[in-house]
Amino acid sequence: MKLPALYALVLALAPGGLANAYDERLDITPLTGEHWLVSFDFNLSSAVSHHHQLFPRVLEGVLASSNASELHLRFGQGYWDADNWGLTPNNGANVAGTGVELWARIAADSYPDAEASWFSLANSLSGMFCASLNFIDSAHTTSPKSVLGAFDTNHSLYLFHGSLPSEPVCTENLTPYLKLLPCKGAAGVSSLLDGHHLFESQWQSMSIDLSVEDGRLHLRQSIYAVLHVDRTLERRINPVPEPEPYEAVKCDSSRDYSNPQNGICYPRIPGIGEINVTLSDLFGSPIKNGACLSKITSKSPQICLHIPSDNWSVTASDELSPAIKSVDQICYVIPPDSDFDLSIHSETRESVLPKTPSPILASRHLVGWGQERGGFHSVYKSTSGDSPVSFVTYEVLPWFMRVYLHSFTYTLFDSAGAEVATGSFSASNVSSDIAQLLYYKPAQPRVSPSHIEMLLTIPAGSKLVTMYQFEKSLLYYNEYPPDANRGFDISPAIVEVLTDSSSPRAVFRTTSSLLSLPTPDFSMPYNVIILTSTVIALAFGTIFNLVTRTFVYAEDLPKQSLAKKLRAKLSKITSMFS
Amino acid sequence: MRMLLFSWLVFAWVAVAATRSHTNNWAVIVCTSRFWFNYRHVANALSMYRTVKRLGIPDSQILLLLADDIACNPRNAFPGTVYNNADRALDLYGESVEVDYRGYDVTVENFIRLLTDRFDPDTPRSKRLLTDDRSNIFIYMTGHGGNEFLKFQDAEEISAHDIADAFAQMYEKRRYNEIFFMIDTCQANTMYSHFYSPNILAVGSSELDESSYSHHADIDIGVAVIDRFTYYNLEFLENVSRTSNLTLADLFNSYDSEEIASHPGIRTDLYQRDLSDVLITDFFGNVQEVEIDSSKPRGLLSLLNQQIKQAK
Repeated sequence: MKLPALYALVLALAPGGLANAYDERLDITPLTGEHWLVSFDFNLSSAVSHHHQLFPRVLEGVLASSNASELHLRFGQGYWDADNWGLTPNNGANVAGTGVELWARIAADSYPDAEASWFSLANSLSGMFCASLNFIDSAHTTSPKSVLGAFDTNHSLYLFHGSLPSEPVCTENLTPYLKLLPCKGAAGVSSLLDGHHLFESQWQSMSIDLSVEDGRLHLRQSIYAVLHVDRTLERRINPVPEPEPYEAVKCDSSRDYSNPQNGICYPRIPGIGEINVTLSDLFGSPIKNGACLSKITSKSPQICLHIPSDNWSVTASDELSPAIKSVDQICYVIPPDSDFDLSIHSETRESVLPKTPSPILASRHLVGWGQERGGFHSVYKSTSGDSPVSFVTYEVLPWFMRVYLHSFTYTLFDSAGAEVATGSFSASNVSSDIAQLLYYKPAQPRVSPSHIEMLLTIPAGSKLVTMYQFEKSLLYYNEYPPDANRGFDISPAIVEVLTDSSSPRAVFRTTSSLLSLPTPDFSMPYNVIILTSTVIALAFGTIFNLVTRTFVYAEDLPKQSLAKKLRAKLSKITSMFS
Repeated sequence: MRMLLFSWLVFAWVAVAATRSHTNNWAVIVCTSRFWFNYRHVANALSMYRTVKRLGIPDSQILLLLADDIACNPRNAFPGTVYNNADRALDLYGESVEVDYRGYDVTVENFIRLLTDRFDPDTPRSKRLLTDDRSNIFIYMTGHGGNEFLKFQDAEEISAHDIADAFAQMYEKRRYNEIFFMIDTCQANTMYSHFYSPNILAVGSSELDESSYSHHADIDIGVAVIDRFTYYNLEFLENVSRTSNLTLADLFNSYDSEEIASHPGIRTDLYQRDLSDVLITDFFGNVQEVEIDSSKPRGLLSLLNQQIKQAK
């Protein structure tokens, strides 16, 4: 009797203490003069209990019904320019590829049980997040062997992964996503999140990571977006982009022929020079009052700008002084009692912090021509100058791409672009120190996809190209989607860079690919039906005539006089009455 | 004794049935068209979604089926928005929208399954029409159609017979109190011609051999933004509030076939009530009426069972 009372007392005295810990933050990092990365992070840790103060009850229900100990959901659109922007935030751990992706670790006695729970999990999430996750069936499901945390697998836990690269991401996905937050997006940094601004960005990623550890539920939600600052600012003045009048065009005075007075103007490259912007300019509103937050957590939300402090100046509303100020960042604690806005100013906005380079740059594209065969061509470039980089790649191909195992080859180029090594790495030749096929599971038509995992190592400064060929299958007539001529989206490959076990792996995804399959002319069956019906009708009519009539020459007919004919008719009539 | 009880039961049931009204409202809003140039069909569906949401039906009781992603389509110059007017005053997508079926999930099969509630056991509640015999359902469909059919996604079509049979099954399963069926497509009136179940009121935008036209285009979006029939419906419905006394007769009288450029049809022969008594909010709003369970036939049945046990 005493214990529950004590528990209740603890709950009452320590909001956000033992039972729940919640914090949220916003980071703004200019990647270039015109592209700014905004990162929203929401972290909730909650004791497993039947009282749900903060933890969304729906998610716990999903975890309980599917026996999942871990759940990861990703929504992403757009292109992350790794060349210019470096590595994705947080080493890519919470970053989405194109489309919708789901993976989960499920506890079950046997594989079929685990698989059944997995499908039911995908279905319930489809209702919750307004995405067609119910399309994740066995033909979209794999069990990763060496990526996505598969290496620390426990034997009674099954890891499943499925992705839908053609799923759009829009407001209907953001709405339920924000409803999981303690303040439902009404207060704190999440009050800046609004579909109109988020989905205008160049690249955006939404993630949910849910895990049960040490009797506590951990929920991490992250939204990353790369805003095109100039376009966002222009949209406020000019909703429809229009060419600037000549007087407003900023000329590049560094060109020696530049003479704007006489009409000689070379437009200045965007993203350099002065910028003056507020949070409300970027997101449509200031950060709304955090009173809801102060009730649930003792930690006030934080907003940090990652900028070189000598070229940039930041002013907060109400002359609030920053909590942290250093050479490369400036942070504010958002006051709980009033709205909060920031004004960011720089004379030289192109001076940004050096980016964290991605250890490798990867791109993958479809090659080949024709309706029958094709190939996948992946290029991996090492950016580090001193040490070799090892990484694993994980690719899932739909069953209608029939991969030729013998066609797996690689070519290594040195930093000067000269070919250094080439070879094949089918299952029989796994011992190459450059390319190894770690895992290969061929597709089963309509049942399971192809699943390929490779371990690749590139010497410093080199470039590695891997290639394989595949054959395109024909689908059944009713398996083609309504827009079959657009092509079929192929999931991005996941690349994880191996490091020594102490530091987290850098993860990124290639772009998704669009495969064009031989598509039938969908009106063809009707044309065939009409044509064959016509042919049959013509043939039948002629043959029927031939077999039922007797043809004789007119001159062979016995000649009959009129009187004879009349007599014949008369006898016919009399026979009817007799 | 049993005979007496039985007749009492029948009498009580009839008494309840005679005074019955709806206790909950549901809406099924379907746009069956894929591709960007069919922007107006999504705007049609979202106009109705906005209205039912504004008049109080919660998202959990609205099933929205959109066959394509228009708001975040790369061709949309205004990401995250769908407008139904070139003045772009009203963003129908708004800040909070729940699309229950989207993209390839919008199929004839799923639509019939939704109406008749025949589903895989894993189907989440948010994708189901969880109605009972006291539910008023507003069903709105829009897309490209013809004589007695409506195309789904350019790939398949639903016929007037299919919908009529699905409604009949719903009636048998006591899944509705009244249905208000509205359809905006070419030759729309043919779509309700085969209905045969009671308590269904149907409205279509155009007669047999008559097209339904779009209202106007937005040159910045580049396509037509709304169809005429829905535009004038929405114009009327925007003046309806939750407490409004406007009736469906008022709505139907507002139709002007000159403006709509086609002849809207109204089918009332299956419907019991006089249209001038039917509030618009009976279908577009959410009226909660609480009733005590004992007056229900189910309570009587258990009473009957008790009596039988005692008699034994």
